[in-house]
Amino acid sequence: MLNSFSNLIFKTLNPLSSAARSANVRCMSRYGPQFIDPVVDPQEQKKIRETGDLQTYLFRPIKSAPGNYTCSHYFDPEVAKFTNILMSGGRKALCRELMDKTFEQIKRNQIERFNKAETDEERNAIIFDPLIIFHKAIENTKPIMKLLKIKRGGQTYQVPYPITENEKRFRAIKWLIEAGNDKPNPIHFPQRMAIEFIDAANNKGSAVKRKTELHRQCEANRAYAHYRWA
Amino acid sequence: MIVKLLRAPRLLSKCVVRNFSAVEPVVNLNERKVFAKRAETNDPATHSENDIGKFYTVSIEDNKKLFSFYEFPAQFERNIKTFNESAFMIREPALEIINSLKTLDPTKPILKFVIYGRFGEGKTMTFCHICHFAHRAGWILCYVPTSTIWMRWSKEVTFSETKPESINIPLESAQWLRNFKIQNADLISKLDLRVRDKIVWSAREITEKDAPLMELVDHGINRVKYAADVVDVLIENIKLYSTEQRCRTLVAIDGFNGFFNPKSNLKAPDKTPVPPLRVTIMQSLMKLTQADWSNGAAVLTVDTKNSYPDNREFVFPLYLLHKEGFEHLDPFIPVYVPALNPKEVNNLLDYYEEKKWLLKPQAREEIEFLSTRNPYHLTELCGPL
Repeated sequence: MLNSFSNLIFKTLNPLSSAARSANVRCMSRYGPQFIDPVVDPQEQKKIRETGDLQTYLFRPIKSAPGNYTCSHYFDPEVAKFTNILMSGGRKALCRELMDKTFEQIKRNQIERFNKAETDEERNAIIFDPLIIFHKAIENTKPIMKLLKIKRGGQTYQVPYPITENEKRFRAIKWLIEAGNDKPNPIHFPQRMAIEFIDAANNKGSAVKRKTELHRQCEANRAYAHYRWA
Repeated sequence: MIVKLLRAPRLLSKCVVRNFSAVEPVVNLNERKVFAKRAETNDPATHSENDIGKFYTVSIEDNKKLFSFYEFPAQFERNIKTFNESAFMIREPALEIINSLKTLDPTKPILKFVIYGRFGEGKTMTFCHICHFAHRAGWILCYVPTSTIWMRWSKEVTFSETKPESINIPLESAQWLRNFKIQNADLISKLDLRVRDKIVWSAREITEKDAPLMELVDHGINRVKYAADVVDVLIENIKLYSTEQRCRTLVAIDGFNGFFNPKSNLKAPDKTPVPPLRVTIMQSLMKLTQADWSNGAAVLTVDTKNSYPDNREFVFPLYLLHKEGFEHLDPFIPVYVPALNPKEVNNLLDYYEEKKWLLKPQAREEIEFLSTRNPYHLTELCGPL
């Protein structure tokens, strides 16, 4: 019997499920449809070992792990993605440094806020872990729709479209980075970015504002939604 | 740099990392309460060998008084603001020097300690620890953190009127005097030290014999033109009073090897290059490290960062001081500051956990491995976790 966790893995990774086949397997892929994704996170590996789900993995060919994945405690796939999108000109070492400094700055801001807080309520509400703040910020900045230009009868309309999970993440990260870059001169990127992450985690800040602005426009243009088909 | 290379995932063998992380349990931060070990008293004079690796707190007043003008290492400075306290770790080299300062023979020529070691392993913190001890124990402090800062850029460079071929940096000299005043004003007025000889600065400005020593310092601060000469006279006075056993003096200079660099960034008014020893305040400070006076001690550090780029290969005093500096200091006691030992690393990480700076306790082993127990790199590596 499979428990709910392994069920989840199995559903997303099972080569035989049609959804996975259409989404994950490219036609020129090095790996055939029978290959499954590797599990890199040590915590998840441990869970798999404990629950006895290892049996399902034993006789399956597994893809090799991506080159930038490690088992280090510093690694987080979402952060790696953010770093890659932040990078320009192949300067990855610089971007990784910037991300580290951003997280450090988040922690500094929160600890200083903690020291200044007067009541217990305020103190308990503060989240220290920069990773949790980072994930929350991205989750809060993800849009649910996008606008595409479509020409109908000599006129262009802004038509709301649904978007995939990947594109949502990309939009959120892009907006956050642009908010971080938009800063007065003496402030450095990690400082600005840290403020932006904390704001976005609390549903404030310019990146979240852009999301709500987009949602408002989509709402206003819902009358054009049928141009997607016609 | 090494840490950066190690962090690059392709260079670090994956199996090495896996050893640390694969079997670690998930730790609930709310349940886990760690407190760093602290020494029983905050007075550095009372610490013994049992306190090695423990922390003690420097009070806010002492912090402002001693380390306000020139500061700690930048990283430590940032952490003071974040953690709301400045806590020093008690380490063996500092204790060693403090113990020998306690049992100082006032009739013998001054003791000279040269602190050396690799970058980030605690030279300057050891130095600050000793300064704090001396301040609490009633020593007069002649404190110079990073003299090479003066050699990089100066707003005002003039020819000296009293010393031929030397140049003055009056603004920096006045700043040093201001610093000296903040650190020692109370002590000097308590000891009742006075100017030994009458000094005529100009037709109108005269410092009388037996005027309080602080009056002389104030003159240097107010009349910046004479600041460099005031430093010279002040140092002569302090040396004589120490030899007479009316006070004890600690000379503390961080980055002493910077004095013997072949050149500096300064340019004299006639555009000729200026080596550090052509500057009057440096010449005066050199007098403090000569062995012609007693009832005092000199604590000096040598650091690769204060050397010229072609002279940064090794950390040893002879290499960094060159022959000239070595012969000037000889005889001295070299004190090596090593990397942290496992016990100290453990307590340092406990301290960071207590202060909520390290939020992933399961990564402790990995941090220790990556940092090679270098406290500077260790603190950097705790940053993103």
